[in-house]
Amino acid sequence: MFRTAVLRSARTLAQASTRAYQPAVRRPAVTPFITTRISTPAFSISAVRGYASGSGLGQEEVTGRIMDLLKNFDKLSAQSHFTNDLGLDSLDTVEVVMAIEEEFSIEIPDKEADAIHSVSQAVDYIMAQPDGTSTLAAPKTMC
Amino acid sequence: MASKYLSPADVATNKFAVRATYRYLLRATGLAFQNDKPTLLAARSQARASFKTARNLESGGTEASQAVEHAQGVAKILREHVVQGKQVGGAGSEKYKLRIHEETQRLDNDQTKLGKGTVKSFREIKDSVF
Repeated sequence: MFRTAVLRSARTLAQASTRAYQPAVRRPAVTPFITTRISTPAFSISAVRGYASGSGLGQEEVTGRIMDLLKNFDKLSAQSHFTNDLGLDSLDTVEVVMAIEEEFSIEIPDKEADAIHSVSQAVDYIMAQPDGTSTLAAPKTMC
Repeated sequence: MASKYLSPADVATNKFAVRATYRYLLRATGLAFQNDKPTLLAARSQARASFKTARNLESGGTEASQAVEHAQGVAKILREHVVQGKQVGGAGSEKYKLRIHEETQRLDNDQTKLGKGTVKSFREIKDSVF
């Protein structure tokens, strides 16, 4: 409903703007009535973007965002192992995984979070998540 | 630290529990100090320092389990008893807007009276520096 309204107003706007650029004197044969209603320029309507659809995150984007979190490390690559390559201890690893959680606004369950030991594993985990359905339930009990 | 009495599997389980506790505590700080970066960072570095000093405790020992319990207690307090407040209406105003979230502990009125005298009112702790 809202989206339809936005699209409609955008189209009206676009039509209004194109109309302003049209010469004052023109022959009606050039722009028939029907086409003025439909032929809105594509570039002006592309500003309105529907976020409902979309293909989610790409592998490059996920890798980029995770690498960005770890950018202070010198020898960082997409294959870096947290402990072996970056020299992180277990507490650091927990913190890195937490930072990844916060970056992607998800909550990784303990078991799975513990299995993430490298950048590529983290990317794989994020890519395996269905879009927008993060597990938001906080752990109430501790083991 | 390697244990004299526990099997490697038990030690692994304990390590997992500690890591889970650490994660739980970090999440609690994130909830309690949302949008308050200095406090959040201070809380996290404090958590880290405490875990680091407890690192050499013997796995499966009493001290280690007490330390884990303590961390869980801290996390519980952060989740349920810490509420962020923002002064509204300019400096010197007595009005604060509190961010009470889902996990903030809310009891009945008669239960809160039981704690009278053992707790401090907001007015008393308002100017304290942590």
